[in-house]
Amino acid sequence: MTDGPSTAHNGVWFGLWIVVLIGVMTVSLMLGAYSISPSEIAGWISRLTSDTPSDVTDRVLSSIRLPRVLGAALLGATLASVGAVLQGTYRTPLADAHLLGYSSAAGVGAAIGFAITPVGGFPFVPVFFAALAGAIFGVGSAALRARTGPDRLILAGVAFGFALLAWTGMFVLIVDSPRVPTLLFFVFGTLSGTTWRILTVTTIVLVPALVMLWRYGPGLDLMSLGDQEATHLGFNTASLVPAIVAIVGIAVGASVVLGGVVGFVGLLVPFVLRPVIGPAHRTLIPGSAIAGAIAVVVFDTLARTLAAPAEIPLGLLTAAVGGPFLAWLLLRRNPA
Amino acid sequence: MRVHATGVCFDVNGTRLVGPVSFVAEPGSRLAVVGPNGAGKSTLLRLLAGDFRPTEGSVCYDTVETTHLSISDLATRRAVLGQYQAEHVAFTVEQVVAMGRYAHRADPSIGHADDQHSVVSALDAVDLGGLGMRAVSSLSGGERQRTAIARVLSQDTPLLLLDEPTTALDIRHQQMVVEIIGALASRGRTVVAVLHDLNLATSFDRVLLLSKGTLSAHGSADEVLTSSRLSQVYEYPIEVIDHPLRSGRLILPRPAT
Repeated sequence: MTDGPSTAHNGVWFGLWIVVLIGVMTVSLMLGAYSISPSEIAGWISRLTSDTPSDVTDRVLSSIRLPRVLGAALLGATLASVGAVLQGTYRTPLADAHLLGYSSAAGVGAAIGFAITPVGGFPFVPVFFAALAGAIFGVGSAALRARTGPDRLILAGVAFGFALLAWTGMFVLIVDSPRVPTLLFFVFGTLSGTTWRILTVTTIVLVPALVMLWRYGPGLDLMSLGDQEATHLGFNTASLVPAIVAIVGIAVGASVVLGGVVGFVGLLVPFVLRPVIGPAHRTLIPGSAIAGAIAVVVFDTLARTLAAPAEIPLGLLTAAVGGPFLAWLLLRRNPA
Repeated sequence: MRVHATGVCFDVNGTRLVGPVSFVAEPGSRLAVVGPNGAGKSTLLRLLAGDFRPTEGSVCYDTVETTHLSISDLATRRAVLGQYQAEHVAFTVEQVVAMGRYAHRADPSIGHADDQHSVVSALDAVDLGGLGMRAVSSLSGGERQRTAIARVLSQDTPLLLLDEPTTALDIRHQQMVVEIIGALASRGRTVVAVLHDLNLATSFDRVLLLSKGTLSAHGSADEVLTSSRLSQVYEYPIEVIDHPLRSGRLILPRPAT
């Protein structure tokens, strides 16, 4: 039995991708308004374990670049993984947290949460509110799944997404508090505000959430045959699908606190990966996580270097690539 | 495993779709469920599978009522072949057949030796040994149906509930399925199959004839599949004659005069 094209084949791919991820993260650390050479990075690493006083480069790396690059990797891993999970749950390559409206719902929660969080505090409250909003929206959306086809559900998600994003925008404008990220953060997404505190809190939520979703992988495989068949084979879709989408909603909520609403990563990455490593979710989810991390680290590096010193919102770049891809996906002949 | 249906009825929005139906299928027996379109055959099969809770009556596997069994307990006791098979499945034939092992594994991602053996023998049984690595989405309707049958076989349960198992199969593979069902019964498995081809039903130990949701007749094929009863239930003249080449009956529509 195999979990994809072949286990050894996938092992090679995974190893290669991890090397590529480390490579793009290192390059990303070097690039930006303030250029840093490889030798300076080496020096910074050596000084991490010694008592040598740090310089400006060290402070840029430690306080700004490293949390941002790690944040980009975590955001990409989350978006791509939940994309793979949603596509398995809804049995369509069009399923994505952004298109289904999860991200916008989480945005409302995050905006409210930020408004009542002290400046500089750990963002537990925004994460909680965003996760709660994402989970409630996800479970509600999944409850409609049996009644309507996935394509109509996605259209409804897009419609809800617009409305929820508008409410978030109005809330941000009315509150006008320095504690609440700018409208840009919620509409287009950006990692410019990533701090160690945000990274710590979101990691605490995201790592267990992604591991739990990965554990549901074999059940998601069964769902490709249909809900009824999956249930006949022993996967309780009636109770586990709401649990899965609730975890997805929580993960999306934490990802919105990390980088705002960023679309299309969850759509693109699993789609590109499936023919390479196979449809089995036990490999597709971690594969998507690594490839999604690579993609968002690259996108975020471009976001802060293409128009430096100005910064292009991350979501604009992902939409510039993802939008035409979605159009192609919708217009091609074979829907599966 | 003994399947015992007692006064099973199933209503939807006040309309009775099935019932009352009572019968016993003993371990190692083959029960064919036949009847015209809309007679409630597939609904009865789903009631037997535990998909639906009977409005009245009960379905028991040995002494345990199906409503008392969890989804995973049901999956280790009965395998179900549905009426329709999903077309756009990116998994390979081998992967789909291996999905039948899900309920038997603590960690379904690991290929145990038992699983490997069950998958390979199920593929061989339905003549799909050479197509193991093909994507299901690239198969013909008949090959997809055989893949689904192999998945049901790999589930390795004491009860098999098959809804039109010979759909989309050519005559050779139809006979192959009949032989598989016979072999399963000889190994003590209970097989309940919904069939449209009445001639296939003649090879079953017992036949249950449904008409408008109710039990029209239940007994051996010779007892149930009579010309007068079939003509009445199907509302079309049907002839039952002795098979010219072997023992048993041959069921034909009576030519229009």
